[in-house]
Amino acid sequence: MIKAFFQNKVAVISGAVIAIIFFVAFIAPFAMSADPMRQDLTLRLCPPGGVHILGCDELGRDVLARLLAGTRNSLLIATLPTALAVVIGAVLGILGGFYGKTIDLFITWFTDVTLSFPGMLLAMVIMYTFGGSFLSVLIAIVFMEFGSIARIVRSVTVSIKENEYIQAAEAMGVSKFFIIVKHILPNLAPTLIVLFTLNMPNSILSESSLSFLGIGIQPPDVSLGLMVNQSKTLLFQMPWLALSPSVMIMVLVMAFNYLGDALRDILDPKTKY
Amino acid sequence: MTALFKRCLGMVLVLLGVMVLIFIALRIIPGDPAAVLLNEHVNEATIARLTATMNLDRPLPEQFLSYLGGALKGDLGQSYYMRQSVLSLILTAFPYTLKLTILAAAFAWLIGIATGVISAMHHDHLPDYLFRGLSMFGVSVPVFMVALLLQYIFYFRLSLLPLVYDGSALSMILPAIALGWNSAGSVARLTRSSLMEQLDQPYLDTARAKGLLSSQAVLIHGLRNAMLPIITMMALQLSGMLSGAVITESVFGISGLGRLALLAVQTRDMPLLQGTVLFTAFVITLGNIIADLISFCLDPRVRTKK
Amino acid sequence: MISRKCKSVRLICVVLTAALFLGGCSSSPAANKPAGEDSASNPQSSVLRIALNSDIVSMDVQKTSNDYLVPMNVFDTLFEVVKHDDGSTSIEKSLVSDYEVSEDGLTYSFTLREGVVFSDGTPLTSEDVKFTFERMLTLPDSQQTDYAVAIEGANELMEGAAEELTGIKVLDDTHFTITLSEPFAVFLAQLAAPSTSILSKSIVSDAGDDFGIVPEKTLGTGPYVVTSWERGSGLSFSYNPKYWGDEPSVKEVSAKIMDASSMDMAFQKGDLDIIDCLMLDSAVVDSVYKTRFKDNIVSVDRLGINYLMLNENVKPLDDPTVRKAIQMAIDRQAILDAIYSGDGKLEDGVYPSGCLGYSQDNQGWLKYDPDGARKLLSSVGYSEGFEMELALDSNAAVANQNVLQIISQNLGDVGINAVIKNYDHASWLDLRNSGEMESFLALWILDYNDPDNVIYTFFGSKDNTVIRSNNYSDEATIARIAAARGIVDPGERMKEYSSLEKKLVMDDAVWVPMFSLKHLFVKSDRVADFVPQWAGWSDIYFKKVTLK
Repeated sequence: MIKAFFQNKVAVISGAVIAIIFFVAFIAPFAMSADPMRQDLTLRLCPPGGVHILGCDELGRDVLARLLAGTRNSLLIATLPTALAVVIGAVLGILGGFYGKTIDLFITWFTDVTLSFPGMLLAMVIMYTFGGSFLSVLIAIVFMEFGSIARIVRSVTVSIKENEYIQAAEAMGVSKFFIIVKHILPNLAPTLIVLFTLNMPNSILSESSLSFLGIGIQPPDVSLGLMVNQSKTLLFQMPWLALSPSVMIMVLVMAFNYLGDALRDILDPKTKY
Repeated sequence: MTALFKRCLGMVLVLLGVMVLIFIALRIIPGDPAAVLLNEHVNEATIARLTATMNLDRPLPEQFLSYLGGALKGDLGQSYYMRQSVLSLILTAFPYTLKLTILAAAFAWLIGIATGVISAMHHDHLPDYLFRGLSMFGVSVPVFMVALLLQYIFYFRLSLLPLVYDGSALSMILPAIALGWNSAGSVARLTRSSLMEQLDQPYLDTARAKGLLSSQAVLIHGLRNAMLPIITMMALQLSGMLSGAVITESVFGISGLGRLALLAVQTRDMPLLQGTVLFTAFVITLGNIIADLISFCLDPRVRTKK
Repeated sequence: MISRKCKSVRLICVVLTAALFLGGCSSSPAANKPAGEDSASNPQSSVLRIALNSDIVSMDVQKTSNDYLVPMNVFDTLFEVVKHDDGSTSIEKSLVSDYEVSEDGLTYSFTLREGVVFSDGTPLTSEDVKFTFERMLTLPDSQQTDYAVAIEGANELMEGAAEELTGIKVLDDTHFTITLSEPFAVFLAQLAAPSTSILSKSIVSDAGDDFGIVPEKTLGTGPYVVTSWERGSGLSFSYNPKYWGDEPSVKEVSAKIMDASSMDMAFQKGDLDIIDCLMLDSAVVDSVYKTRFKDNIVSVDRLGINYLMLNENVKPLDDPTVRKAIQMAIDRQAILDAIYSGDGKLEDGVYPSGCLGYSQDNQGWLKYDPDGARKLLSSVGYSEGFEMELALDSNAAVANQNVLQIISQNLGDVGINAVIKNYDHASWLDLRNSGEMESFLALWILDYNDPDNVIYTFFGSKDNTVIRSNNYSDEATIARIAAARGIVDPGERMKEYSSLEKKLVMDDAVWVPMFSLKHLFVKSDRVADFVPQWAGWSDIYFKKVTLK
């Protein structure tokens, strides 16, 4: 499988792009002298070049430093809830798919309920309740994603369960918990990995959209979406301010999309979602 | 028929769940809506008077039951901020969103299916690479960026189309493209993959080899079978489009549902947010049922299964 | 294989050509004409096109304290404020044709202007005036009770102890008297504020809940009527031919809701006639409007003060020395230059420049001095600094957010760890009104030109000091502020206000006065003349715009 990964050009390239961005964004605070929060009003809106490679923003803060800090935050805000959504979705999906009956009915109903909200509106309900902050964006993304994950995991679980060896194990009286851990989970693993990768771009886009609307991450925190939001009034006069976070969002989203597609081809060629 | 009945019952249950969920979610943190209404010129007596008129002092279950009863009769309550019936606000806003969504879907479909088909026909050749790259770009670029760029290019630089919605049909073109952009990307991707799969089916090869079908007929045949997953996706995209509409409407100044919901969040107008979300959930559930019905008619396999 | 591909390509080509053709058809009418053909590029000579940055809440002035665009243009007040060439303002008669004040300053006798009708033809009578003030006091969610509480019997009516407002006596259709419970120097100024717009008893009663919501039912005596209001999209107005005053040059108005970048584009393309620079980013104003459009700029000094409020109930802000240190630690000029490109002037007092009672004696004393601030802090045992919270309203303009971030850094430089905390608008108001907000940045623009409008609102009563979250504790001073309202001799009254200002800002350091801003507007070449509202509000009087 690892070999297959390295033979797939798309997978390697997109994986490498993501790895590099992660590495740079998380190592930057230790390697860079520029502080993303430090204002210098004399450098206000200085164009790119010189010490400030990407220029400075309205408060004279280094755009590159902010871009990296924003990338780091956006990645955190995307990774954590996506992982959480996969875990919750997996638990619900396995429970529903494996136990069937009432539990299944209830879980199916519950996922249907969460899926009948348009994601952005669901997120807005959460923003209404908790206000714009890291935590509420995180919760919103979890809610936007776990439903569809649970639905897919459920159907995959049902098909795994139909395997003869599992039916045999069940007939022999092996505990259900054991079957899940020993047989279902390992078979589900590729699906979960692919689901995680394919949901990452959605998370990144959701964060940036919420912040763009001004109801997501709030200043003085920094995120990619917020950087675009704050520079949108200067879009045509000082395009470099909006350009770098926009490009970063697109590169990340594209890389994750390509990686997800490639991983699906490698790990899980039969299922479609 | 029983399947359909079950589906409707399921829909009612889901909507009930939606109501409970929103109701709870919006009331976890007790706020004081009276404070928002009385912006600058506040005084204690007025706050108390207002809280009492809005029934905010009654227990939650009681509030829920009266809300549920009202909703069944089509009464979604009164907007705190705009002091108007929520339903009438929604019904004025919905046609805009509907128009926008239909136009955006038309755009997404036309472009998405066309490029998807070309990609599939030229599998692993230049047009395929080109369109695959474009469709990946389509699904990867945030709606707001598309919207701002379209405004810049088609209004500011080329003077072709109006900047914001002004009631004319022309002013709906840019919003529809902005909203349909992402979907066009995913329709293209799905069309390509499912058409390629169909074209690989042995029965078509056989038919073609025997000269039973012309190549065009093969394409049409394949496309028809490939439509099924695309239609299912359409229903899912409805939800995505209503999400995207929030942003599109806010950039282009269209007074639709999305803008109403955003306003409700910004002004902490609970009944309005509650009503908008409930209404959209209703529309989406309805959309899912319609998609079910279409695939039911289109695909004999689905028809015989139940 | 080859033939299959070729044919299918042909098929696709046909489909695409058809698509392009259809697309081409639908856009071809626009291709050779500029954008927004219908209303914009070739506007009729009497249409004024403006942009708003957000929708209004209500057209009913008694239900809003922010949205005065409709009240100012569709309704009239008994008096109006006139701004003279030298910058001074005076209060002139509007719906009133004559008035007299009794010796004791308590009873005002008014005569209404003859022949004034609402836009549906209903004549204006004294009953309408009485109705307006009664509704102001009894409407459950009234925003304007402050404007009627001075009238005798107001409290009884509000509490339900009385059926009518005893202080207003209707003598006949055009004559009435208003009696105050105690002398109140600024009563006439209040009658000139849009908050006291006169409504029609019969129109409002017939409209019921639709008043302020449905344009056809929201009628006033003013120069315009609202022809449509599309939520989230905009409003349009047209001239009211029954208007009693001079016919204005602008006959129709379209007000569209846009975000900053759209406004900027639309104005540059000639699709807007007036743009409000405070709605744009100051960098855009500098680079585009002060260069390419510099001859079209209309500027007005805004009678408003930006201030940083400090809460005396929170330690260590209860210590005047700490508050003084904060006053000195903030580099106000740098903020004004950076965020507002220097378009304004520093304010050191309570009343902004241009406000009656503004005193040169109380200006110029507050200097940026971080070293001094640090010394003051260590003198009271805070050489290590302390933590404090700066509350930010998420709905606030981007400029406001930026100012707060600079303040946070300024305070950080003298060792105060000032953390910005975000609140959504409702929670922000809630917290502020409860008197528990630690510190916040806000703006007060005058509703009527009198020191009372600022000082009484913030420090005039125990309740007001709580609601504004300063919790100012000097009861003697609070009593003096309340008493100043009743001083009959204008000179004496202004002297008292000046001394109160000194006490509040210099001695007690209740707040950090920041600056007042110039409000810049840019007019298009279609506009011959434009006079902004006297206090520099964003809302404008359409009748004060003259088109070429």
